Amino acid sequence: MLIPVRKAVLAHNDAEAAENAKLFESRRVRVVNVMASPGAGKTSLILALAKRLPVGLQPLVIEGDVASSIDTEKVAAAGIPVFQINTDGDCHLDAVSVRKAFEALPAVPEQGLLFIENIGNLICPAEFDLGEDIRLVIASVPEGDDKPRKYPAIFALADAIVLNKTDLAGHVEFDRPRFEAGVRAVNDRAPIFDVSCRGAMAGVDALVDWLVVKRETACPQ
Amino acid sequence: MHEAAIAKGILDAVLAAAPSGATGERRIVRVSVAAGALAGIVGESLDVFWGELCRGTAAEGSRLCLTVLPAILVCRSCGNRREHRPGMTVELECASCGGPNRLEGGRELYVESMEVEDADSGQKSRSGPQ
Repeated sequence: MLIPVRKAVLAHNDAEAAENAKLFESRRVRVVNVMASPGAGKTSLILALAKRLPVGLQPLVIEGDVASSIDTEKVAAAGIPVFQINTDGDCHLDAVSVRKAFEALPAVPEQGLLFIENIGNLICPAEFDLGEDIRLVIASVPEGDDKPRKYPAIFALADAIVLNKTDLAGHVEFDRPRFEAGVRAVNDRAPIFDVSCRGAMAGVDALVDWLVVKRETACPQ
Repeated sequence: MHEAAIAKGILDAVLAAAPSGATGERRIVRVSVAAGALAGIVGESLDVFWGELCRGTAAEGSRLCLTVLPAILVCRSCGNRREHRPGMTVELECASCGGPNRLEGGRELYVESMEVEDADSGQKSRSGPQ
């Protein structure tokens, strides 16, 4: 007997993500899912953004790693409330693990901006909704300009794209117009922010301004 | 490696939808899944997790049939459409006029159907979709 099922494979995670979104809303916390390959600068960008957030907007971080607490130690050293998820081999975070981590965070303030640092991977995190408000995808100059064409799914779902490590542009081959053309082939709407997290942190303020506007739009005072 | 979670999602979906026979659960013999070209599913890897996860369930020994749905490269200038399948390069320029392409679709991921043995005979009654 043939039985039609017609059900989304990740329906369970999607339902859990919807619960997360309600929880975040009830706590008036806006959530940014930060996705990138290993070494693209996820932690560095989160730390740079946290330094430049306006007074009164408290950064919070959930760190996702297969193993180790290296990034959590960096975030905690900056005085930011943080909770570590170790997936023990899983290549992505899912909605349930994020909810448990959120509930384990130290006191969550009224005006919070939660960054979820996903597992370093340009494939699997694209499939798993976490209940976030903003999907931020980072590519870095040393990775090359072809990443949007090689990993189209994750660039297609981004609300904003960060091109990180622009301070290295003079040292490696990177065709900036070709990178942007690759992004536009899969994503019409996401703004691209050119950023360096070193020195004067070029471009970070523009991204902060965008995040603050997005936050205020989603969470009016 | 997200195939483990994908396999779990498929199994949960089919076990929830599976009917029970008069003598207990009915064996699931085949499951059809559709995945878009951008879903990043590796069929061989999915098969491995599927076989392991199904042990001891009504789906033990079942065959998983994966259909890959292509994404489409659409030219913004002339509207030319070309299928984009896993492993293909996202071409920036239209092969017909050289205009800029836009990639559409390819994100689907759902369980289409399943085939179970008949309640009385213990035999499957007909084939599912290819």
